[in-house]
Amino acid sequence: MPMPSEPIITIDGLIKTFKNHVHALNGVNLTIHKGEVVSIIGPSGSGKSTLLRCMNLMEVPTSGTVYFEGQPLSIEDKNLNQLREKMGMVFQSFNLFPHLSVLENVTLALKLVKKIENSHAVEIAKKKLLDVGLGDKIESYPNQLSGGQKQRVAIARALAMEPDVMLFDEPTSALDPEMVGEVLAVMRTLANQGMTMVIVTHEMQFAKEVSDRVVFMAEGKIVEINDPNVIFSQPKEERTKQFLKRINIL
Amino acid sequence: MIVLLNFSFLDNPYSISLLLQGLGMTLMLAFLAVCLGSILALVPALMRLSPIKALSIPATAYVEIIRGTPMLVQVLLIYQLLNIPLFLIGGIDMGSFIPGLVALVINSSAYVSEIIRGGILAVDRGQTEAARSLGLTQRQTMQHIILPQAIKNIFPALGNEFVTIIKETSIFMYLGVAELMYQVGILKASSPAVTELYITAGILYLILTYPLSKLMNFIERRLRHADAK
Repeated sequence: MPMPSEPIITIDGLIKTFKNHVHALNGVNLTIHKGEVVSIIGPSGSGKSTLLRCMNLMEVPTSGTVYFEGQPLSIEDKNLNQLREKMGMVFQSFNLFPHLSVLENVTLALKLVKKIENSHAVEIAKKKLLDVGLGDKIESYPNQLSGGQKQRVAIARALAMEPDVMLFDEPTSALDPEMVGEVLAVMRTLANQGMTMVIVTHEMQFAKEVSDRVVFMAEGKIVEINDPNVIFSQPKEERTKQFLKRINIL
Repeated sequence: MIVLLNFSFLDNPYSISLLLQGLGMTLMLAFLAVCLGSILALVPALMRLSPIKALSIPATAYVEIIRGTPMLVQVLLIYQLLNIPLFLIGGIDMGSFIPGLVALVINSSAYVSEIIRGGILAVDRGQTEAARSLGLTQRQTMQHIILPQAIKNIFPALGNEFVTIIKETSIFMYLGVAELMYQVGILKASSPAVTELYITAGILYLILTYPLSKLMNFIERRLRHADAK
């Protein structure tokens, strides 16, 4: 697959140490290119979620810099909110707003952040909810939905902002097995439409299928970045082999 | 010991009218104190939640001082400090009513600020993250995402605070504010039925607080139900 050249996210020398002295990231460098789908895999505690959460400064790195579309991100920067709205994020635990209807979940940021008037925001939201197969649920409240439906609303909510990149933080880990497929189907469609995506996941088959590149992390470091067909069959690093053997991929 | 209770003072319209006036004053004081106190409470609550120490430390000190000292001391101290001369509005002496209300509002604000802070902290962290990831500012997140959810945690506890404050208003008899216990004091001077008067006062407080507790439970259930509609 030809590699798109223009970088969208560049991570430079990222170190993250938590208050309890856990070293979550130990010097990570990574570039995500426009239109690319990158999956991050690795054992739990390897820092993959922390790395993803640093990309939109949900987690503030201890040192190092994240560049988004060429601009360094800073928590003190007044423009951070404008940059964040271009980076859609989907969480493991959905994080829908329980006091708002499905429709309001999607329109809220359109109105507050993009200052789009209500009728137009509703139009956009309906379209996005239709895209994820939830056109009939717009009046529902989050606690009336299944896990899979909640996650699809969360994806629609992020997509409504027309982001330049979508960050997925273990989007199917909290789902019952029978719900995983519907969420992955939405993500697969999105990948096929050319959306830039960074996915932290335990779904190896899915990662292999949709990714342009797969990043393997362990102990807060990137161990290996490779083509999905290569990494899942002939990983070059011993640490990668160990991990894939343990989860019965190799 | 056998005590024969004599509630004959209740036949006297004058006594009834005094007690009801006192009850009205008690209710008004408590209502004003909780409403104004709740608004004022937002300030220390949000200050304590701030990561900026210059904001959180004074707010913590305020809350700890108010909660750690007796209400009677606070009321008398504020009465002394304000030192408002006697003047009447609607037959109420503002010289004691205003300092009393100020003390009650300050006292209530400290307790309510802890209720608000707890209610805000109880909202899942993921809610803030989702809102911020969509580009909402911290202020918008607080206003549109956190506070509407925190209200459901805050409201029931606020009802308890209202009940507490209703009972605390009895302290105002020391200032000569004509609330329920003050009126009981007046009737006591002309009636031998002291025990009965205190029992009556207790029942009147209960008439205010018990339905209020029930009402708060009802509203709490409604709020929980609203999410599930």
